[in-house]
Amino acid sequence: MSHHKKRVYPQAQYGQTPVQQPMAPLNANGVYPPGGASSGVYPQMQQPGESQQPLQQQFFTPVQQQLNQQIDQTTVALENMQLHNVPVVDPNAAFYQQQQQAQMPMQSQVNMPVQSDGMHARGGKAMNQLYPVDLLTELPPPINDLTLPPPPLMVPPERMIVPSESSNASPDYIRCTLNAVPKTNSLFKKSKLPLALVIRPYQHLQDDINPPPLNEDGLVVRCRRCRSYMNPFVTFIDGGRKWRCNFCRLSNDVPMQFDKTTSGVPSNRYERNEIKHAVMEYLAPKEYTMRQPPPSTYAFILDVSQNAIKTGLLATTTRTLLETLDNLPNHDDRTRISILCVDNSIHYFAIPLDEESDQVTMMDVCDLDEPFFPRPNSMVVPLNACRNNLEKLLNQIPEIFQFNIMSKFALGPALKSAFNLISGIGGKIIVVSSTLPNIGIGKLQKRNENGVVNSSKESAQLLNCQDSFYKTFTIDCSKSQITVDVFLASEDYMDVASLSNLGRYTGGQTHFYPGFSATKLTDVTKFTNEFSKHLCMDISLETVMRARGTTGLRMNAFFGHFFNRSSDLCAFSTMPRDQSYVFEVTMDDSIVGDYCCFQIAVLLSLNTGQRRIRVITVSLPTSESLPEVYASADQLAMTAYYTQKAVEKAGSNLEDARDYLNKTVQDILSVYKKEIVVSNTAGGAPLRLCANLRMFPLLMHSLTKHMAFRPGIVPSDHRAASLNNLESIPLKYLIKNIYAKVYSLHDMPDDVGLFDDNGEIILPKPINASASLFERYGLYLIDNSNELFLWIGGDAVNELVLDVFGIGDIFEVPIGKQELPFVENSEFNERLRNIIAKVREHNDVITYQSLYIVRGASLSEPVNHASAREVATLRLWATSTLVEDKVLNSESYREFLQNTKMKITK
Amino acid sequence: MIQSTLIYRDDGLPLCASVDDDATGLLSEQKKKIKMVVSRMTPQSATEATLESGNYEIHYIKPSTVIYFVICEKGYPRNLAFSYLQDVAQEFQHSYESESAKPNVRPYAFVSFDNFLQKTKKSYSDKKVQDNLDKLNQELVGVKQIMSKNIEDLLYRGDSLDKMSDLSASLKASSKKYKNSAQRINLELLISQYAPIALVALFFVFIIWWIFLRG
Repeated sequence: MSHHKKRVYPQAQYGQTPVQQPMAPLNANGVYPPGGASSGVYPQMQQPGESQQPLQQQFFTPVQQQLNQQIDQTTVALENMQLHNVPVVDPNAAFYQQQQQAQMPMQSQVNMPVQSDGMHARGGKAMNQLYPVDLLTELPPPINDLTLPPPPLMVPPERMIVPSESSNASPDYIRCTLNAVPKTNSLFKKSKLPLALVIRPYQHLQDDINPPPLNEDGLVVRCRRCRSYMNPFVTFIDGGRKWRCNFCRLSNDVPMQFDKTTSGVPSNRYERNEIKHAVMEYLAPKEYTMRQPPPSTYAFILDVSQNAIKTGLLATTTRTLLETLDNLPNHDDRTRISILCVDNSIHYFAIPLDEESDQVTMMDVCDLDEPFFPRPNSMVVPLNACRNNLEKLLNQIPEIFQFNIMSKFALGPALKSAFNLISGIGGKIIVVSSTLPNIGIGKLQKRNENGVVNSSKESAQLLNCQDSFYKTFTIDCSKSQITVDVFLASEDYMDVASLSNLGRYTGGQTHFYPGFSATKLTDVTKFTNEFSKHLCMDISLETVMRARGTTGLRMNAFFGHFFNRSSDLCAFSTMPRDQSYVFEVTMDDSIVGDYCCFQIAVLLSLNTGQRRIRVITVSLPTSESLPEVYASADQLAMTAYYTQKAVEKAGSNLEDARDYLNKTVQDILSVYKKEIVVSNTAGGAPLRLCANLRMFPLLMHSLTKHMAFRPGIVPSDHRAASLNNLESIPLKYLIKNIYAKVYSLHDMPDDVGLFDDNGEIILPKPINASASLFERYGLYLIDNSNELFLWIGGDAVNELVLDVFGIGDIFEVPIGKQELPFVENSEFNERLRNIIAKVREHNDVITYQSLYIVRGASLSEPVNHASAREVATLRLWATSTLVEDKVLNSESYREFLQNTKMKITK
Repeated sequence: MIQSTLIYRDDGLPLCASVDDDATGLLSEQKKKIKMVVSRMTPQSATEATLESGNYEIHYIKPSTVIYFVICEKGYPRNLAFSYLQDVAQEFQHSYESESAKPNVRPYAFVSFDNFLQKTKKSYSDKKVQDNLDKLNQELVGVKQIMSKNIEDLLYRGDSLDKMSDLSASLKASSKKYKNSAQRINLELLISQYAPIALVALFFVFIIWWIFLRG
C-alpha cells in the first residue's frame, strides 16, 4: 500500500530521530514518558515542565550551538512566538531550503528549557509558516504538489494523552480544509476560505485490510452533555476520577470499569484503544441495538427486455453473478438473495431449499399497479441453503428469455415489489438495466436534447429528475434500510439524471456503461470486473453517521450519497466502502481554546452480525492570524468541497457552477493580496498565493473543464453520470479525475515498468497535462481515474510501434477501446503492460479503467481513412483531459491566471 | 403460525432472534414487550408460561439461564408451541451452552442460530408435519398446568404496586405535616385564650405591690 501516506509530523516532537547532542546532555531523555506505566500510576498527572522537554530537541552541531548561545543572549527578552517549534521537516520539499535558513534562530531555544516553558505558558504555539509564491512565474505548475500530504496538523504531543502517530486521525480518514481553524467568525469570513471535512470512514473494499483497533469489552464512555466519545484529546482531572470533554468542556465521571478488564482485573487505562488511537472501533453494547443485525440481503432486478438480450447484458450479468456467489459477503452464513426478472411483467422465482426440491418455479405477474407475491416465503432465499438451485436458475435465465421480444421495462413496479419483498429485513436492491423504464409507475421519456444542450436551460430540462417517483421512493427505502444500486449499460438514452436519484439518497451508487455491447471483450471485462467487485465489497447495514465539533462549530451541510434524517444525522441503509463524504462546517461562536476537535461517529452492523461504532477524532490548532490560516489550508480538501458545491449549483445552471468556481479563485487570490501580501512589490506585480495553495487555482480551473461542467455539447447521460460520480468519489481519485495523470512512456527511465525491491511496479513520474509537452513521435498514458488513454504520436517511428503493438505500420494499429496486445520478445511491451496493470490496480474503489488507444495527428495520415471520424472524436476526447490547454473555446491555464489577475487588480 | 423466536439471557442480554418478515410493525411491538418482560424477570419467576398479548400469544420456557420466547398467532396449539421451544432450547444448549454463559458475550452474538430457527419454524408450519406432531405431542407435553396470563397484567402489576407504595408514602408525609400543624394551632389557641387573663392578673399584682408595698 504505497499510497498510504501518514500525516507528516515535525520529527522533533516525538523524538523519534536519534539526535546527536554532544554538548547538551540536558535533553537526553527526549522520549516522551510512555503511557505503559504500571497500573494505577497516571503518567499524565506530571508536572507541566516535564512534558514539554522533548520539544526542545533540535539538530545542531557544536559550532552552531556556540553561535546559538550567542544569539540566545540577545533573544532572551525577545518574544517572537512564531519561531517556536517550527517543524524540522516540512512536507513541501520545495521550501526545504528556506526552512533550513529559518531554523537557525530557532535553535536558540535548545538550551533554554525554562525560558521556553515560560513562553509556552504565554500561549506561543507552533504553526505552519507561510511561503508566498508567484503563480505566474511557476508555469507550468509543479504538479508534484498534488500528491503531497496536507499541511501538518500542528498539535503538540502534550495535547494528547498518549502521543503517538495514531493519536490524531490520519488524513486518509478525515481531512479538514483548514488545518488551522480561525478562532472567530469574522476572521473566518474575512479569509473567504471554506471550512469543511472530507470524510472517508472506510479505506478498503474488504474490511480485513488494516482494520482499526477494536474495543470488545462493551464499555463506551461518552460525555453526558454533548454525547461525544472518549478520545485521545480529553483531559483527566481530579486525580483521574473525572475527565473533561474536549468538545463542550464538561467534566464527566470516569466509570469504575474504565481501569479494569472485563474479568475485573485492574488494567492500565493508558493502554485503552480510545485513549491511544484517534481512529478506533467499539463493539456496541445492547443499548445501541434496536433489533438483531439483519442478514445482508441482495434483491436483483434484471432487465430481460429485448434490448438487454440484444446487448448481451443479461447473460453477462447472470454469468458474473454466478461466479461471484462464492465471494458475496456471507460471513455469518445468513446472506439472502432474491431475483426478479422484469420486462412488461414481473417474473418472480420461487426457489426451494436444495434439500427439498430442485424445481425452481417461475411466476409471472402482469398486474403492474398492484403487484402481488405469489409465494412470499420462497422468494427471498438463504444463499447457503439454496446454492444449487440458485446456480441452476442463473444458468437458465438467459435461456428462458433468449427470444424475448418485449421492449418494455417496468422498473417502477419492480422496485416496489422488490421493496415489499425485503422491506422487513432491509438490504440492497441492485438494478441491472439496458432499457429506459417505459411502463408503469416511474415511466420515463426520452428527452429531446436538441436546442437545449449547451444553453442555460440544460440543467432544468435535461439534468433534473423527470419523475418524482425516483425521489419519493427513496424516502421509503431509507425507512426500511434499503439501498438501491443501479447499473445502466446501453447504447441508448437511459436518463441517468433521473435514475441516479435512487442511489443518491439511499447510500447507493449509479454506474453507467455507455455503448455497452457484450460482443466487445473490453466492455464485458469492465462490466464484469466492476459488477463483481461491487458485489464482493463488504457493506455495513443500518448505518448512521454523525459529526460533532467543539462548541462553536456546527455541521450545516452534508454532501454525498445518503439520507439526511435529522439536522445532523446521516442515514445509510447500507454503507458502501468506495465512497467519501463532505460535511460543511459553520462557526456559530468564537472558539475559546487553542485547539478544536471534530469527531465522526459511525454506528453500523457488519455482515458478521456484529454491531459496531467507529469513532474518528481529529484535533486541529486554532488561530487568530490570517497568514496562519492560509498557511495551513489544504488545497485538495478545498477542491473536494468546492466540487460538491459546484455539483449542487449545476443542478440549477451549469454556467453558474463555472462562474462560482472562477469566482472562488478570484476571491481567495484577492483576499490574499489585500490581507497578506504586505510588501509593495515593484515591477510586474506578481500573482501571489501561498505555496500550500498553489495547485488550487489550477484544480478549480480544471474543474470548469471537467465533463460535468464544461461548456459545449456533452450528451446529457454522460454529464449526469459524471456529476453523480463527482458526488461520492474518494479524494485521491477526485483529484486525478479533475487533473489527469499523464505519463510519458517513450522516454521513461530504464527501471520504470519493472519490479522494485518490494515487488511493486515502478511508475514513471507524471508530466503536466498539456499537449505542448507531447512530442509528435512520443507515447503517452493518460489516467483520469475513469479511463486510460494510450496516446501514440502520429509520427512515431516504426520501431516503437512494432515494439508496442507488434504491428509495423502505425495506421494499421487498431484504435479505440482496446487492450494492449501481447508482443512476444518485446521487453518494452511487457513493461507497458506492467504499468497499465499497476495503474488499474485499486483495492479501494471498484473502477476498472478501460484502455483507449489514440493516434495523434500526422501529416502523412491518409486523408480519407475509413475511421477518420472515429479517430477525430477519440482525439478530441483524449485532449479534453489535457486541462492546462485551450480545449475548444475555453481558456488555457496561463490565460486563466492572467485574466484572474486583471480582475482582482481592477 | 409461529411468528418470531427470541432468545435472551436472564440478565437481559439478547442472544439471538429470528429474522421475520414484519412489514406491518406489529411484531416489533410484541418484541418490545418481551424485552420488558425479560427485564422484570426474577429467579422466582415461573420457568414456563404463556402470555396473552393482543392478537398474539407469547410462550416462553426458561430451562436454565437462557430464556426462549416464541410469538405465535392466537389459537396456535400451545402444545406445539412448547414442543417447538423445547426443540430450539435443546439445539441451542447443544451448540452454544458454554459460550452463552460467558460475561463478555456481545448482544446477538449467535445470529447464525437463525438458520436453525428458520428450518424448525418451517417444519412446524407444514400442515402435514403439524398434524403428526400434534398427535405425538398430545401426550408428551402436558401443557394444561402451564399457567397462562395476560401480558398487560404482568407488565403493569409491578406498576400498580409502585403506585401503591408511592401513595402510602405521600399519605405518610402529609399526615406528618398535619400533625405538626395541629400542634401549632393548639398552641396558638392556648396563647390567645389565656394571655389576656394572665396580663390582667399581672397588672393587678403590680398595682397591689405598688399601692401596699410602697406605702
